[in-house]
Amino acid sequence: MTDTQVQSAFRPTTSDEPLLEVKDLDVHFRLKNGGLARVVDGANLTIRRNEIIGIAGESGSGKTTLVEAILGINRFSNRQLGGQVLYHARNGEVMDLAALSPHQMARVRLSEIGYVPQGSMNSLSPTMRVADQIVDGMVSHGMSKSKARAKVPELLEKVGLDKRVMRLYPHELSGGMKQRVIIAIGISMEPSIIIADEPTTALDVNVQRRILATLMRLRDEMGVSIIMVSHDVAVHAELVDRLAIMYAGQVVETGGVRPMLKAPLHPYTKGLTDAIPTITATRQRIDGIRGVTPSPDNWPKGCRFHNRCQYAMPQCAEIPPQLVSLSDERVKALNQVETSTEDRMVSCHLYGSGADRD
Amino acid sequence: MDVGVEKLAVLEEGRLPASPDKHSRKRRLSPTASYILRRIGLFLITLWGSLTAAFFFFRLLPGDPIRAYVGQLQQRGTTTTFETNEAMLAYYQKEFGLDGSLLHQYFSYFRRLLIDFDLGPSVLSYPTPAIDLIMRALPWTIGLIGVATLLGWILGMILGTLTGWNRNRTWAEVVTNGALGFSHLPAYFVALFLIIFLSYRWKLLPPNGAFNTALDPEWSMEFVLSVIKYGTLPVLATVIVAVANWMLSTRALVVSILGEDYLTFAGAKGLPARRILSAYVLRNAWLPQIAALGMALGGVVSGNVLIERLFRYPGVGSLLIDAVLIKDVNTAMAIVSILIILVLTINLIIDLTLPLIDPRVKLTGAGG
Repeated sequence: MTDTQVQSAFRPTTSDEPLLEVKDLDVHFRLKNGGLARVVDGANLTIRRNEIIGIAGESGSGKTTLVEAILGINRFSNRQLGGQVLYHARNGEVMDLAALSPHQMARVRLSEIGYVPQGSMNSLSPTMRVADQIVDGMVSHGMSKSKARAKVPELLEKVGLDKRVMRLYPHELSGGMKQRVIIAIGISMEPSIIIADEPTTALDVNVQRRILATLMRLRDEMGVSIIMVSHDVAVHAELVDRLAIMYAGQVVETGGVRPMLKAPLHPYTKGLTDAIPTITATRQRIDGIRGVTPSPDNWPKGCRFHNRCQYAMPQCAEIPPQLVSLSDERVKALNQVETSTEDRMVSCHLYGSGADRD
Repeated sequence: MDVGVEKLAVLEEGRLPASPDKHSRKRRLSPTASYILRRIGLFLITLWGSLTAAFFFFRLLPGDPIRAYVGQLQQRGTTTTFETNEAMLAYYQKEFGLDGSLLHQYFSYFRRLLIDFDLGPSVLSYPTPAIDLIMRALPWTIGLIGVATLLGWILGMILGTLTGWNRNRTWAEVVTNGALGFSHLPAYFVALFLIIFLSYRWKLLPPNGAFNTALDPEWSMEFVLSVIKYGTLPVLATVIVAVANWMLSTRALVVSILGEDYLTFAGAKGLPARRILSAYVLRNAWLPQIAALGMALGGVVSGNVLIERLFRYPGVGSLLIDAVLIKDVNTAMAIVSILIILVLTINLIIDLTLPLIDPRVKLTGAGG
């Protein structure tokens, strides 16, 4: 516990400069029965330079689909993409990743956005040596084979692996080592963003902690931004600077991780944080969020959380709320908590559906 | 300080399973040697067992080939007396290795096989040794079925990879469904259709035989062309069915690989599609197919009995039928013996080479 806590205290300040802006992103899938599964539906998210942003939400909330859409990974032919993914490149150029051709997108991957996928246990080809799998990503981005090979030991060292690992096959590695190899591949072209989708899910708690520490160290050393997807709020509390909560294909609340977990605004976020057991509190029953996640081909009308929400008002079932910024004073007044909002945004009628009226 | 803690932990985790210094490398040799020895031991035991089973199977067939043979000689009127008759029977029984008790025959079979490398004379065309008959037929069979098997495998691999890779395209679905149909047809059924249409109806290709009998068997251009022309129909009949089967199994492998996480990750590395196909899909799909090809090649030697019969092809399959029909124990047994030896040898070779091409197959000393 201590190592990560100490590190968090010395977190470098993130700049306010946006690096990636997800604007009204839709990822819809046309179903065989004619229906439309709106897995991600009007999601908004801003990632800044040198920050770690966490995306939390329950299974089926669209976390993985959102980051795969950012990366341009398309597993299914029935996908329909809407909205923008604006990427601010290092040279100041702004490009819309959602509008790139597959060929252009292939060049962006690894060189601008590294990916640490879900299911890292099987993300390395079983019949290729580790070195070859690290090298071929760099070679496909125009690096010479000899130069790429020479870079492998340095990359492995960066993620805390012995350089002899390069001669091994994936089945000769432990789960944590495989995950490190994948991170090494992710950073091999020195991208500006690393997307880590549940990078620690299949690992035990000890290895999980070391992987998280490695990610934090890489952020400090290389100055990358990290998008961290996890359903585990405890992981976010430890690692990320800012947190985005997803529900039913939309981002419902964003803000600095500590104020947000201390004083959640959206009833869904509140439900999530209430479900975290604490050591200090007296023994008590944890009340989960009642109901089940709605289905993406049939989201509820109005606010998608209204039928599970204990604060629901009549208008919640009719009008979909917008993601709006709240001022510092407003948040303090609402929660009676002394906290900085760090530009908190929330999508809920409890806090006004239009612009902030304070 | 915290960095120190992390590094220590990482080093511990990043440690290799075994340090590859010279000492441990030397110790590693022994599991390999023991694996090879165990494999060869198993090979010998299986060889003995199957040869024994085959031997007793053919001896248990009803009827006496020698009596029939001597009867034929008598009909030609060379000898008539009882004594000469019995003497002839005894002579030929010894000659064919069919004298004495079953156990005596059994040991003399193995003595002949192991010490003299002799499988006895054939009844089919005495006194030609059975092995000579087989050696005469073998090139035809290997040429015909070998070419058909390899061709079927190569085409099946290519088609299976393409249809798997493009599994959402209409043409791939059409090809797959077509293959599904052909894979269930027996090769002789396809052969009958080919003979009816390509040979009798349209008179494009000869319906049977292995070459134009008007030509002398020699290494001339004309003769080779005639062999190819006569071989086309039987090869085609075999290949059509083989391609369908190889294609379907390859396609299934490729489709399952396409769903693997490492393929998604290869895409996330920004690799071009061609590189993903060649390095990630093919590499993982062809390993099991190579092992399967090895098994299929074992069947090449026995030939495809029905196809060879249908096209009156002078291969091992035809020879086997001729031998069984007149109870030529020596020839039939010789064919089966050679088949057993070859199949087991191919299996042995596959087992010994697979660890070289597939990194996941490891040689371990105990337990495999």
